[in-house]
Amino acid sequence: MQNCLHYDLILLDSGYAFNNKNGSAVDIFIREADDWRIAEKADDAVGHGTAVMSIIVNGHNCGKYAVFKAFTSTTQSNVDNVLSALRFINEKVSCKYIQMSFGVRGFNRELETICRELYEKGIILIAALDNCGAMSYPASHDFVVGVSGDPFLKTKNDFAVSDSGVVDIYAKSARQIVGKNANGYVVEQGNSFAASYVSLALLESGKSFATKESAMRFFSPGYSTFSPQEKSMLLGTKAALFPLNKEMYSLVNYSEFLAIQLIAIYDIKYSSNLRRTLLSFDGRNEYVVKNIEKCDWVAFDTLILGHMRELSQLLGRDIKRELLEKCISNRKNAYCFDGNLYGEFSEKFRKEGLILECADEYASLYAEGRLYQFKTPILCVLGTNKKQGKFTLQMQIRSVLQQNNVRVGVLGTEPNALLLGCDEVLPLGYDSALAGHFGSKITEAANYAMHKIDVLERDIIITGGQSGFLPHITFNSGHINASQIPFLYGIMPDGIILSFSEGDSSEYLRKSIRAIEGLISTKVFLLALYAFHTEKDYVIDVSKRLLTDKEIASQRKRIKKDLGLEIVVSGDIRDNDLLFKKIIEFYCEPTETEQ
Amino acid sequence: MKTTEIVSRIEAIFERIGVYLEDFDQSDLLEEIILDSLAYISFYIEIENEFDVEFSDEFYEVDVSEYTICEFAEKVIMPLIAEGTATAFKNHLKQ
Repeated sequence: MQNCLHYDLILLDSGYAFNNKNGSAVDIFIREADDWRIAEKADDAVGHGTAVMSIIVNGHNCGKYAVFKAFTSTTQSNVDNVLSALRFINEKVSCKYIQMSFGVRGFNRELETICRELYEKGIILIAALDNCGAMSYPASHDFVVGVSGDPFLKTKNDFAVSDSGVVDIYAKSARQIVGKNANGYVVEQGNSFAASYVSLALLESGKSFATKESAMRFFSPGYSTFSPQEKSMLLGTKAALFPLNKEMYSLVNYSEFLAIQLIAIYDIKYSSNLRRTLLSFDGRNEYVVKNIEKCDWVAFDTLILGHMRELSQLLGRDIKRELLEKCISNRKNAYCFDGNLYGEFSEKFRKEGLILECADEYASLYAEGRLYQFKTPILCVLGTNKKQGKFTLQMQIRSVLQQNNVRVGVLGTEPNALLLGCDEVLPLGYDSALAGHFGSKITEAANYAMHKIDVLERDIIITGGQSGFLPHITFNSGHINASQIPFLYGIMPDGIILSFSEGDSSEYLRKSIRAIEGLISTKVFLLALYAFHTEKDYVIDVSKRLLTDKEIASQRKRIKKDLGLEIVVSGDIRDNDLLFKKIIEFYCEPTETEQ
Repeated sequence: MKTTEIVSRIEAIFERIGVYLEDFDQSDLLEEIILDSLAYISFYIEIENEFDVEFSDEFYEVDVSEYTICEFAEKVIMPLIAEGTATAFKNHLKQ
């Protein structure tokens, strides 16, 4: 085994053009099969590595450095080379810092694993974020110092530390002379060079840093590591819910997916729901609705509180406040579907050692603009209107895929999503905190939520939009569901199932499909019929009845003829086979025999 | 208080909570007039305030949706006003 070499800093890059510069010896490693050896001659055909290294060598010429020639192009990383180099370093080389002024936009488990191993050995990793503004790896890993440039930072000692968890530190990146060659001065700009200034500052400090946090505190003594929102602590607990409304019905209907133990359902006595028996769709769970004023506080640990704004107005009292206070006095946790009173009560609950959670907490907003790119296939259910069974359809898709041993990730956009075992929640509808935002905030929040599922490496991720995509009428800004477009850009689905109603004309559906496919690189590959006839003017539902089989058959024929697409009926298990077939056809490569 | 007066006051409640039938047919079932849970909540609160009664919790566990307006007036409101008890109501429950 080769003797362990030691360096102050190792750079993975395109090479280095000098064996010795300003008194600093730089070893250049080149790959031979799965091994790496020190090259006799300096080499950097691209010039990037030389430019990056020159900032360090010119600034701190008493160090010992190595450059691993990991790639030969400035536009394409060679991940295999990078992984090989990092594994070699892990086994045979020691160093204080590793700098990587490059990145890949898709999450790579192997890269994360080897970088984490190196970090856990006490090596500080410094990496440049993507110049095009994407999240990139390894810089985006939470244990790597992720560096971005800032045009307002003018000197090598200008830094700005961020605790956003997106960019850790900003440094100088503007056009600068980094060397000289036969053609004259070499002028460069970009995050690659910002990373060098960070490395240089750490080297010049002469200190050793055991963790990323201690290294960051060198730049900002008050720095604390970004802590992402933790998973709900209330999953798995015994729960009661109040009141019985639309989102709560889902918890009853889809009890097969429940991530809580649903013990009781309560409602206000005036609702006419008391003593009603509710049965889950699979027939396994039955509940009788009880009066909240006779609540059996002993029987459960968590009270799930749905939207209550209208109810409180009708009752002329703040029933949510009353129930939160009763939770505290009865030593119960609570999970709220919206943020009303959350700010006021969260500290009160915490002081009592109780847990108060709100679905809105999980919609992380950060303002850096950087978006993750996804590797997992994504399917999104969109609709042409509200109350169209889109959530029912998502649960049906989830069930069908899981029955066929497909590993499904789910991003729920309803506040009850986590309670239904969805991987992440992004409340976007009624009374959600995000509903008050628009544009980039929604894109970033949706993107981050989707990323957290992408790294779980499932086979497919499903999600769904809210309300209708393309407005039928535009008499009021409320008819325009502006949040759907930034949502779509945040999740970037590969395929769409479009939920529609029998009253939607083929021309309107064609326009909707063109609008969706025109915005992003996606395809509407299937339509799902909401099998109710409704009398409405797109604002007010007057009445509805189930479509007959003949009417459904007529819709199938119309859509096939006018749009060339097949349809499934939302919630109808007779269409499960067709639903599964169309999803597999769209997302899977055909086998050799099928070709 | 006569049934007709009670029915008339119930019809006025319907107008307050947003049910605007041109003519109330006294054979209309409550479930045809009161559309959803929130409407039921409005209705019962108005009834309690209008007649200055308080229904017992047991009352709310009974499904009155298949009562007509007239039946509701006779079998629910009148006994409560007369005797002021939930027992009176129960004795007149639709079998």
